[in-house]
Amino acid sequence: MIRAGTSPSGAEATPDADGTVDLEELYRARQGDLVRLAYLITGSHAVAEEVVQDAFVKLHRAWDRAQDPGPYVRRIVVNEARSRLRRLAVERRHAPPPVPVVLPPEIDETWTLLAGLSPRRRVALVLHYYLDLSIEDIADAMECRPATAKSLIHRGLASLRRKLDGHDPRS
Amino acid sequence: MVTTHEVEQRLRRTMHAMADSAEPADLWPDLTARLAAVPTPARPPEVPVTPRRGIRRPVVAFAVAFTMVIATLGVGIVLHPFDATEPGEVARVVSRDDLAYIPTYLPPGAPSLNGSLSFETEPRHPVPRLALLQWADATETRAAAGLSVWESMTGDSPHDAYGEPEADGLWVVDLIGTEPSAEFHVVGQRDDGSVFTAIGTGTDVHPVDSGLVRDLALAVRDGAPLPAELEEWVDVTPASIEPLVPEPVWYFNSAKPESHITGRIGPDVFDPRIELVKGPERCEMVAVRAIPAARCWRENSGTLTWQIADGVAAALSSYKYSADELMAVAESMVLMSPDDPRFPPEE
Repeated sequence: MIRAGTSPSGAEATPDADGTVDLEELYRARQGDLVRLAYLITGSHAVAEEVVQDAFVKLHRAWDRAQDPGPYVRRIVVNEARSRLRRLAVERRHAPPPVPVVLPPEIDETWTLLAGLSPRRRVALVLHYYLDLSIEDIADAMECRPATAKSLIHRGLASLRRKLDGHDPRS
Repeated sequence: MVTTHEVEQRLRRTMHAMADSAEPADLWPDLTARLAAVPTPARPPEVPVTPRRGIRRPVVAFAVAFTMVIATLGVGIVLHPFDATEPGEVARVVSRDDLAYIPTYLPPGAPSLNGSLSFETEPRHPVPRLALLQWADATETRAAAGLSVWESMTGDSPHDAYGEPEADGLWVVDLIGTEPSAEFHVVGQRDDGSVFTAIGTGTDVHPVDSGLVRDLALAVRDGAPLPAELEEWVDVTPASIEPLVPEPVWYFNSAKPESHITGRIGPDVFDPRIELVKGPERCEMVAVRAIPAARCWRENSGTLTWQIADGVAAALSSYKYSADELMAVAESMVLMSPDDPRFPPEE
């Protein structure tokens, strides 16, 4: 079993009596949520799982510096997913379109439009509307200022709204 | 018309539906194998201190800043009049008792600030001033060489405010963010006079690398492939490489919604003057440019108006100016809040 050092907060993982937080426990507690988060950012199951794996490796390396492993690993995931998303965007520009997945039209349309947003806007929207993070927490996760996080959400929403208006048969 | 609320609801439904479809496998065994090969460091690795990164260290930063202030002030006093405020000249407000000032140089046809600012007597952060001085120095140097380069630095901390773009024909290189996640804006002017903007973001490389910024800017300007070293981390979206007046964007500071800054861009002139808000007795100026991040719209007269607010140009946010000082900069002032009817409706 892999154990890491003392941390003041173990997120969902419960610290042991000696104050240590078990990395496996943290992994099992957070992996699912983090993979889903990474998936919403990257749009790829495989990449999302890779991102989370890599994030835990980085967390393990940096355990001594991680004051709060939960938010810390989430921040790594967000950064890593965003980085992967940029690469994916380049790849997808040169790759054949993916096989369409059968989804309800509304979900399909919104998901497609979400994929068209810039990485930062997409990340901000995912953190806000999926994780329900506060502006401050989004800023922390994205390592930006709250005003920037707020702006990204605002701009992302405005962009989606314009695009949806373009698709909306009522308009 | 789809409302914002409807968009939000659709987003929530979509994200939860898609997230539910992502049922992760148990990859703990794989991770265990990887972790076994990764030693946990007993202490964080030492980060080599280079001059660029070392600028963050207060002692070094202050020493360098102080030297630069003295040197530049001396040159400035000798070479430049203090009251020159016409575009194309160096405009400064200099107090011999106060080393703090912002020199603004405005090459002909470039974004015009039309005025000067002076800091408060007590400098709060010497390093941004260093950056500003370097900015001015670089600008003047390039102007003397016939280049129109206008550079500005932003950031919450001193080390964000740095940069040295050298691309001919570029106006603005705007650096935002902190390592390891950063964003920078590049605004350039092509040979035909059209303006483009690009936004780059990076997580692995410190953005404040003049060479990378320069290469990016040149690549964007010339439509060339991105430098190989940038491809991994720079995102330049074609949609953003458009003439100014892109999608309406505006920054909003909920804490001080009254402190907006507006400017105008005429059909034949790009003159985003600062029109500062007459705010409270002392207001914090946090935005003087960031043109690509401005909210733009076209009026019936054909004049384009852009608006920016807090959240941008944080290189200046470390300083507070008196209302009089701000007023001295502005030719006219417009008070706008998000509820102001003069705001164009959201698209």
